Amino acid sequence: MAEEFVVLLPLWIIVIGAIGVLIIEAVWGTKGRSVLFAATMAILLLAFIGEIMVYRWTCAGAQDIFLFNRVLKISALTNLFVLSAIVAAILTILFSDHYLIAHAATTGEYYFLVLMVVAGMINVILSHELVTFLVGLELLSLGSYALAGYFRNREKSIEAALKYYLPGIFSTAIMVMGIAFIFGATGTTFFDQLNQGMLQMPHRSIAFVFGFIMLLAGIAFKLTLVPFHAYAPDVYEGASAPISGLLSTGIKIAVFASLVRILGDAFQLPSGKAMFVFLSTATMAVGNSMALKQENIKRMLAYSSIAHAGYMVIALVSHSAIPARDMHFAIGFYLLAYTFMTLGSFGILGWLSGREERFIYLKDLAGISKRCPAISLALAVLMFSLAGFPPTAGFFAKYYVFRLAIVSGDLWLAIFGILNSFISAYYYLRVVVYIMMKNDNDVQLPALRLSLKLAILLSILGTFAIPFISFP
Amino acid sequence: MISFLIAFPLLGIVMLLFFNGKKQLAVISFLITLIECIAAVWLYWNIDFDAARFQLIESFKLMEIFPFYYTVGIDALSFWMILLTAFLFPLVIAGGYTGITKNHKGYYIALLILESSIIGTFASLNLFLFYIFWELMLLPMFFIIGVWGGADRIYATIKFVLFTMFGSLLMFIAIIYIGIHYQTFDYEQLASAQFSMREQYWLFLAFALAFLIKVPIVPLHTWLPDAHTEAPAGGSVILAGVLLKLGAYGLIRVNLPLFPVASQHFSYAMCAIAVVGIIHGALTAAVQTDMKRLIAYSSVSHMGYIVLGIFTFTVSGLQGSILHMVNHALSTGALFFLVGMMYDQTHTRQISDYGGIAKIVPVFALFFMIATLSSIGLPGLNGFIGEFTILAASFGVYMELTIIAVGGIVLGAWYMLKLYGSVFYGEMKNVHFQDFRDARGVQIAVIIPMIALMFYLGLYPKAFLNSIKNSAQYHLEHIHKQF
Repeated sequence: MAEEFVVLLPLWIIVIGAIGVLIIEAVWGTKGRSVLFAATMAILLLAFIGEIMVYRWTCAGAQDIFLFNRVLKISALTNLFVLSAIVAAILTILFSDHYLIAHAATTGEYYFLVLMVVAGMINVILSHELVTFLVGLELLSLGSYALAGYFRNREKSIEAALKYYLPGIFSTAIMVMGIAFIFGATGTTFFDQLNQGMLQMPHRSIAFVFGFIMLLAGIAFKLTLVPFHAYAPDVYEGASAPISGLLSTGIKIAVFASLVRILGDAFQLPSGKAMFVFLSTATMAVGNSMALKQENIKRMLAYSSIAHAGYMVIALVSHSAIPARDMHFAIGFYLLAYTFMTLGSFGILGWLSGREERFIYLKDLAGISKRCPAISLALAVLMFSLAGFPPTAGFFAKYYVFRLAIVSGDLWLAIFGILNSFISAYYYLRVVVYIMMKNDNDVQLPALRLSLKLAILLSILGTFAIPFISFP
Repeated sequence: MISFLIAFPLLGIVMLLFFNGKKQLAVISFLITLIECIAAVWLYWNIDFDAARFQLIESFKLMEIFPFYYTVGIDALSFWMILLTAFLFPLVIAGGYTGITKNHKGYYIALLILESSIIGTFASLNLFLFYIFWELMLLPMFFIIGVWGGADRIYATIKFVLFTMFGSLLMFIAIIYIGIHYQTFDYEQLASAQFSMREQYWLFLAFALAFLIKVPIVPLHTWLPDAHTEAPAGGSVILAGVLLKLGAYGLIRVNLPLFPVASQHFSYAMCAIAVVGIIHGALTAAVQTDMKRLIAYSSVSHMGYIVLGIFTFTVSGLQGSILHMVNHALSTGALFFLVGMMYDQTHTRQISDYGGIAKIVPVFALFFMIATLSSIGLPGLNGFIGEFTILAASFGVYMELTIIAVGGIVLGAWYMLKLYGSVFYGEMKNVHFQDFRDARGVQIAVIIPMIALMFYLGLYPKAFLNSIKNSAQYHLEHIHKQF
C-alpha cells in the first residue's frame, strides 16, 4: 500500500501544492501574490523531478505497475506523457507570469486551477479504467472551463468559457452514455478486460460498438477532431493566450494518452479503421484550409492546433497493424514537440498582445523584428517547426507519424498528410513574412520579464533538442 | 575534414554576433568564407581523382531510434561542386556588399547558414541527412529574398519556398519509404540495393520532381524569374550559381545510380522536356525588358542543356553537364554581379533605360562582354566546351532532339548580344548616366577571378574533364549494367 503512494508522488505534490497555493494567498493576502508564481514553479519542478525519480526507482520500464485495484497503470508510455503534461504546465506558468502582471490579474485561484488541471491530466494519463478516466477528465475539464473564463470582465473571455462549457458538458454526457453501453455489453470497465468481455457476449456487440462510438465522440471533442472541433477557435481566441496554449496542448496530451491506451489495451477493432481515416483526413483538411484565411493569429493557431491533431490521428489509423510501441512513441513525440512549439507561439503572442489582447492581428505584427529581433527570430523558428521544416522537432514529429502510415501500407494517407503540411506552410510563413519582411508600425512592445525569456528559451531549446533525446 | 567545411560557417556566425559595424561584418564574413574556400581548395590534394569511390568519409549515428547517420564524404563530382560553392561565397560577400542597406548582421548570418547547408547537401551520403540539408537551404534563402530583395520580394520569396517545398515533400515520402523497406538511408548501401521495377518508377518520379523544380525545368520554372529578379545581387548569384546546380546534382547522384531502370525508361521524356526548356527559356529571354529577368530565363535555357547531357547516359555527356554546371555558375554569376553593380548606381534594370554607356564605363562593358560571350558559347571560353560536349554526346543518342537543341545556341547568341548591344551601344538615352562610375577596386577584384576561370576552362578543359571522368563512369555504371 505504501508503495502505491510513493509511486504517485508527482500527483501528490501537485494536489497538495495546489491547496498550498490557495493557503498562501489566504494567509498573506495581496502580499502573498508575489510568491505564488515561485511556489507554483517549485511545485511543478518538484513534480517533474519526482516523476523521473519515481519512474527510475520503481519499474524503469521493465514492467507495468498497477495501482489501487488496477484502476491506475504506470508504464514507460505514461511516464513520457506525464512528463510532457508537466512541461506544458511549466511553460504555461512561465508565460502566465508576465501576462497576469500586465493585466493586473494575479490571484491564487489561477495557479490553483492550473495545478488542478495538471492533476486531472495525470489522472487521465494513468487511468486504466473507464470510470477513473472519466473522473480525471472531469477534473481537467472543470478546471479548464474556469480558466477559459478567468478574465471575468472581458466579454470574449466569458464567451469562450460559455462556448467551452456547454458543448463540453454535452460531450461528457455522451461519453458517460457510451461508457454505460460498453459496461452493459462487456460487464467490465477495465481497459484490458473489454476485449475479453466482448468476446464472451458476442450478441451484445452492437451495444458495444454503439458505446465505443459515443466514447470516441466525447474524446474527439476534447481533441478538437473534425466534426467536433467547432468550439476550438472561439475558445482559444477568447481565453488568455497562455491558457489557450494549455488548452490546446496539455489537454490533448492527456486525452491522446488515454486514447492510445484504450485502443492499445482494449479495442482491436478491425473495422474501426475507416472511422479514424475519416477523422484524420477531415481534421487535417478542415484545420489547414480554415487556417489559411485567418487574420487573427490566435484563431490561426487554433485551426493549426486542430490540423495537428489530425496529423496525430494518422498514427492511430492502423493501430492494429503496427507495433504498439512505435505508435506510442510517434504520438508521444509529436505531442511533446507540439507542446513546445504551440505553447511557445501562444506565449509570445500573449506577450505581444499587451493589455486587452489587442495586438493579435497579423498586420499588428508588421515589422516587429526591428524592435525585438531575438523574439521575432524565436517566433519564426516556432513557425518553421509548426510547418515541419527540418531540423526542428516539428519535422521529426511528422516523420515518425508519416512513417507509421507507410509501414501499415497507407501510403496515400502519408501523401495526403504531407500535402496538408505543404498547405500549412503558407500560413505559417505568412506570420514570418509579417514580422520579418513588412515595414514597421509603431507598436509599443512591453518589457521582457525574466520568466518570459526563460519560457521562450525553453520552447526554442525544446524545439531543437528533443529529436536527439533518447526516450526510454 | 568535410565536417569542418560544414561546421565552419556556423561557427563563424558566433563570431559575427560580436560585431556590429557594416564594414566589420562584411570583412569578418568575407574572411570566414575565404578560409572556407582555402579549406575547400586544400581538399584537392587530399582526394584521389582516379578512384570512383567516396572518400574522406565520416560517419556516426545521430539518433538511436532509426537509422539516421551523419555520413558525409565526397567524390570528384561533389568536390567540384563544394569548391564552386566555397569559391562563390567570398565573391558574393564582396560583390553584394553595396546592395545591402539594412540589417547587415542578419544578411551575413543567413549567407553563412546557406553556405553550410549547401555544402552539407553536396557532401551527404545519407538520404535523410541529405533531405535535412536540402530543406534547411530554403530558410536562409527565404529570408535573403524576402528581407533584402526588391519591390516584389514577398511574392517572390513565398513562391520560391512553396514551389521548392512542394517538390521536396514527395521526395520526403520517397525517402521514408526507402527507409522502411530497405532499413537504411545510407547512400552506398542503397546504391547496391535492388529496387523492384515498380518501386523504381515511383521513386524516380518522386525524386525527379524535387530536382526538376530546383533545376528548374519547364513548366516548373515559374518561380525562378521572380526569385532571381527580386533577390539581392548576392542572392541571385548564389541562386543561379549553386542552388540550381543542386537539382542537377541530385539527378546525377540519386536518380541515375539508385533507379537505373526507371532512368532508362524516362530518359527520352527527360531529354525532350530539357529541349523544350532550352527553346522555351531562350525564346522567353528574348522578349524580356528587365535585365535580371532576361538572365534568369537564360538560366532556364542553360539548365536544359545540363539535363540533356545527364540523360544521354554517356560519360562525355555527363562530363559536359558537370562542366556546364560550373560554366553556368561562372557566366551567369558574373552577369548577375555586373547587373547588380550597375543597379546599385542607376536603380533601374530596364534595358530600355540604358544605351550607349560603353564609352562611360569601359571596364564594365569589357567584363559584360566576356561574360556574355562565355554565356553564348564562344570558342575559347568555357561555355563553348560545355555546350559542345553535351551536344556532341546527345547527337549520337537522340539526333532529332539535338538538332532542335542547337537552335537554343543560336537564340542564345541573339538575345544575349541584343541585350549587350542595347545596353552598352547605341544612343545615350539617359543623361543621368553621365556620372555613372566605372567598375573599380572590389568590383574588379570580384569579377577578375571569374573571368580568369572562364578562360582557363575554355582553353584547357582537359584537366577538369579528366578529373570527373571516373566519377561520371561510376554514376552511369548501374545503367550500363542493365544491358
